[in-house]
Amino acid sequence: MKTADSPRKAIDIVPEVRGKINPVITGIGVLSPIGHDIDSVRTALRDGCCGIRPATKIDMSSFRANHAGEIRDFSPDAVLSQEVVGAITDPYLIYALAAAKAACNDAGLVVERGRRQRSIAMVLGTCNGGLVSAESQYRTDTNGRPATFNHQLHLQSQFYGFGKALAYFLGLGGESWIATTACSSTTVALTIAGNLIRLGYYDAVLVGGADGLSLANIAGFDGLKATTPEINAPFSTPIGLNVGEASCFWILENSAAAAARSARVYGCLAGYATTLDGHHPTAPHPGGDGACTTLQLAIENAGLTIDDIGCINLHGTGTELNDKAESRGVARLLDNRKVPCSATKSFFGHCMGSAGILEATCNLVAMLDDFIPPTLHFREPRPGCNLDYVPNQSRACNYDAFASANYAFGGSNAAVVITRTPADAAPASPLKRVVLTGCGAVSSLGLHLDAILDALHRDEVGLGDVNGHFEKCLGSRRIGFVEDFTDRDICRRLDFTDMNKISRMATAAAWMALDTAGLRPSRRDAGDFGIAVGLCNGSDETAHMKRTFATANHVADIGSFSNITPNSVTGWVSTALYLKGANTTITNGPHAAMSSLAFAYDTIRLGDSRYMLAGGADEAYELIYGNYNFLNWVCLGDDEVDYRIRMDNTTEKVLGEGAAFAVLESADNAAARTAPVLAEILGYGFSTDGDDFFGPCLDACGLDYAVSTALQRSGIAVGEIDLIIWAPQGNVQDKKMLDIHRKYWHSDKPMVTTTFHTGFVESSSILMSLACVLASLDRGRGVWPQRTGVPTVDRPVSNTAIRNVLAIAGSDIGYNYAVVLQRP
Amino acid sequence: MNTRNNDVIQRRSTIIEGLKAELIDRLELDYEPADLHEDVSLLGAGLGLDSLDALEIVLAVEGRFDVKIPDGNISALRSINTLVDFIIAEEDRGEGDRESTAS
Amino acid sequence: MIVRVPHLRSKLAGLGTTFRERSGIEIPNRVHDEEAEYRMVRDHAALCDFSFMQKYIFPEDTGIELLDDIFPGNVAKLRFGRVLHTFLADDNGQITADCYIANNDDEIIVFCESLIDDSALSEVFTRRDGTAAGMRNITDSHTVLSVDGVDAWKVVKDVFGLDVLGLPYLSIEQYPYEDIDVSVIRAGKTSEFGYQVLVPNSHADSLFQKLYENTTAAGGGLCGLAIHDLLRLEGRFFNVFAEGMSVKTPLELGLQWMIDFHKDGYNGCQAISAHRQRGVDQKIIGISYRAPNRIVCDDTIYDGGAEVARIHATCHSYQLDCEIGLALFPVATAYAGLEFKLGGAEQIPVQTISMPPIMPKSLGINLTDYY
Repeated sequence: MKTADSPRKAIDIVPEVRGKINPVITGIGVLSPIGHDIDSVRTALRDGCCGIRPATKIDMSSFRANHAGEIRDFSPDAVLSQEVVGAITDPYLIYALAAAKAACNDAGLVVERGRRQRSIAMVLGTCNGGLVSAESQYRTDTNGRPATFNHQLHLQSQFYGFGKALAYFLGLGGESWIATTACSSTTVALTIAGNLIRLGYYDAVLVGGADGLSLANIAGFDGLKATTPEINAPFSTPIGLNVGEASCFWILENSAAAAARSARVYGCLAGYATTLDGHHPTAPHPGGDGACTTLQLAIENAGLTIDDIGCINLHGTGTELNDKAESRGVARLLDNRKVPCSATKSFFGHCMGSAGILEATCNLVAMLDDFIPPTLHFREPRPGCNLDYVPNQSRACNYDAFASANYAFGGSNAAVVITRTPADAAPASPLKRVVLTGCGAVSSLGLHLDAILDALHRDEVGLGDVNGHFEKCLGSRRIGFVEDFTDRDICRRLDFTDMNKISRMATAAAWMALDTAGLRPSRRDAGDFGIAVGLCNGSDETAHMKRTFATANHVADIGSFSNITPNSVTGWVSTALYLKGANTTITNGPHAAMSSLAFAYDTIRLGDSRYMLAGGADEAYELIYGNYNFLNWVCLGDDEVDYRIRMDNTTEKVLGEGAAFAVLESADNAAARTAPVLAEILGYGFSTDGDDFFGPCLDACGLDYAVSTALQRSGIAVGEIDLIIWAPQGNVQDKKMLDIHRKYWHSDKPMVTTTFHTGFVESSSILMSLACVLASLDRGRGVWPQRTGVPTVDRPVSNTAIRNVLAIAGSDIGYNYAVVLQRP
Repeated sequence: MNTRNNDVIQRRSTIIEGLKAELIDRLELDYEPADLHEDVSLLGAGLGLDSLDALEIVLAVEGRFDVKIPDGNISALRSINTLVDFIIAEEDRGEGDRESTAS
Repeated sequence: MIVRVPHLRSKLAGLGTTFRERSGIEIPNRVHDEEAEYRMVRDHAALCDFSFMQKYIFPEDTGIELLDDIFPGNVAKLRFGRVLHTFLADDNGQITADCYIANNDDEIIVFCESLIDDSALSEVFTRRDGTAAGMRNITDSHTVLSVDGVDAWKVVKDVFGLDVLGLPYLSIEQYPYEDIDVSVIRAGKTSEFGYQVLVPNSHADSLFQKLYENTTAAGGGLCGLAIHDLLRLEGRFFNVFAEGMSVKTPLELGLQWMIDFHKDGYNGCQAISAHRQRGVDQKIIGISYRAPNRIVCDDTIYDGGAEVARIHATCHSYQLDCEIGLALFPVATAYAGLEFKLGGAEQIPVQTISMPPIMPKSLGINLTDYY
């Protein structure tokens, strides 16, 4: 085993007080329908040059819409290595790599393959991700045969492939986050990146995103009748949106670090906020509550007032519902003040997940050049749209701050406030201690944490026959299937109407977590409750994809389409449980619940939410299972009958379904309401192994770094750890966790998981294991028998006092996670 | 029952049967076909469906029957019966068009 | 025998209201002639005293499950700020009241239009331990004012502010009025915009005055409850005081949508489930006809010489300029578009029709354009 890079010094200066560190923008890379660098983007904005044209990349003849904001005259060969261009086929990854590299170059950061640079974190946002690659499994060739689908396409189709590609080709080894909150993805990514800088975890973060045009995505918006056949005219006529594609990245730096290296500073990410509508899967709250509250919170977060804001960059999609609700919400925020508001989507259409950072960039370059970008194609305002939209011509204006907001399916809202210089009076408050006060889980062993615990202690295995659950009889036979259940099985007050299975499981587990924490959000305090959801595959979009590609004119399945974005899960949970606070949806793939736990922890620490739910959920639907079967990712034969770790297996596992959630709040808050504390979260450390793109990353070095970082941030010595929680998959990918166990604890500390009882529940097995351990210890039941097949792990655990707990997770994707918790 | 009435019943009941099956399936309504009174309001009151459901209804009707419901035609979407009226009127209009083209 | 009169009786009487008795309650019947009151609602806005409704408040935590045990609708799933429309049945599964149940955050408010009197209705809740659940009967202490009409939103906006326009159909919200908060429900059974305001009697007089002035200024005015019977039928809203007087089984009335068939144990559940299992033999559908003299209820519909159906409600539709009604047909013939004859010497032709038969102006208005 290689030696871990030791965690860098910066971690020693974790601030005690929030507000000490300002994130500043020191590099920008952009690839958009109005330019491939900030100079051309600035010129287009100032001169009102629209980038929307008749679509050329996708045959849109069967749609209402036929215009698009396309990236034109871009030659990947000119900016990317031959290796990249040869390996990557999905356009969004090409765009992302080009823009990300440009941002790093612009900031003067040297990035190159193989550097494994752990001091730079990566926060990515995308809406469609590799949808273009995923489409290939639904396409047929001219003879009606299924088109090619293989491992390379599968990896590119997965959201987690985004971070893996950038980590490998740019040589980055810090932590990776992939935020997928549909059309607010990169705005949410900025908030995560802001947290990482503000908390002193990193001096530099690469943040941004990309989205390419995808037929399945356009078919969906067209099916929802949200598109227009003409060029869009937000807040005016015609009503409807154009789709666009873009990529945009920033280097966000600690202002002190930027100053120390005399870096050029474009501006400061002074404030940000996320909220949820908790209202509807696709429609915004008609009163514009989301727009009003989110902007208000972001401005407060920056320590500013609305009077400090020079202009607002609107979401302004052009659709009837968005434009009206947004205008109403912003009008309420402005309260008769005359603040100019522009919709830059009139230049390039709706660039989906990349829209947020692209639009903020547009407004930033305009601010630096003393103008406000216009809303193009503006004729008469629509009824109910009564703001100053800066119609058609850019407006000369000197201002020092602007806000930019985006709103997405699932009711996920996000806003950022950008200032020319770091604010002098950023709001300061002591960082909070964070405790875990409730948890819930759903798995094949039961619909309730206590039922699962009972089964675990009886050493029951919840793996059943896969046949009968899926239409096609597949090669494998076993799965940890959660039998279908309804709201009545959980609580009569819950309403699962219209929810798919993954959202039902997530809602059930999240409700349980709140219930065990003694919490029940209502309309009045819904804003106090935030949620972070970590996902691997997310919702089953098969119905939409099949229908879109089965019909010659690509007719969408709109019910399924509204669930296609991973944050639909977050949307459903928040609607069912009245959550309107901070939120994100992280699609880091296996163990993504660790990212959601970290986001929730950081949010509470910074005082940005009173309560946070953090969790993950996985549904093993037919397409996923079929793909895994095709990729040789499911165990067969004896391996699945006696599911345990086999180092001769490379990727095989027995899948499970389920969800796990935890409730986090500040220690002060828990004490004030005398809530029982299951554990305090002391700190976390993540990293990325970018040693290969298409191949597996099996080296333990990155995990070692993550563990060292988590321990260092927590102030806990290696010897003080009493128990390790993990979520092995049953194959060689588990070796890195065992290596760490051997290196630091001589394989002598208890190592606990639920995987071999429930199947490997990709995003959430790790959190389920954590929840079960904390609940079991809390009830004085000790830990359940382990059945990993590793003798040192499976030996009985004596019921000695367990205080410090370390949760570790990693897979061949290369994302490594470590979290340290302390029981009371 | 006179022949005219019988013909009407025949035609309407066939359309209603298909329409209810389509609505129950698409909107995942938790009711049996017999539970859906043809006059019950679909949107707002009654079944309380929303705008996304309205789109689904339009797609369901257009997919099952050879008709096109123009955007913003709220009057057809008020109840199962008003949808059936719309479908019948469109079918008859289509017949008329074909006949006039033929002659 | 009249056991209850409206708190605002003298005020209503002073404005020309005539009253009548229904289930022991004195109700405002009519203020102007039928067509004038009709035009107020369809073209402007009309104010009406709906205090005849029985009103109960339950604490949210204990009340919601109790009410879920009583009503066939799924009260347990009622979201904060939302209103559920359901009915109350007796042990035989016969409808005794048409109810709105509103989740007003910390409390649940139940509004009943009841065929049984106040004490019998209270008995229904107390029998299920309503008192233990913290029930408060506010029937006598509170007034309900209903503003209905295509311009009703303008009237309430002028009193409660712009935010009231954001209230979705079947929702409840609090709005400040003078020194208190009053609850406003967006509901109504006219198919035009409708707002029902629950106000303590202490503030009822002044709020009435304000709403009256605003409706008058909007071209409307005060109306009685008789016109609401007509408006309900034209909009095909269930009317417990019309067809509900003679047809009492929810399945024949087509009220399945008010029932969650997964629930059991609610009042009348056994009878209703048994009826559903057996299958429904007849159901109520719409009819229309032209008649110089209005036909009274209980008239019979013939197919040739054979009796096929009975009429249970009728009114004159001003919008369609004909008589419309509801009749109970055997399911095999319960289809729109059929032709029959009415009983009596004149043998008037009658058609079965699709409901709702009219297109209200309010459906063409998008309130989000105005706020």
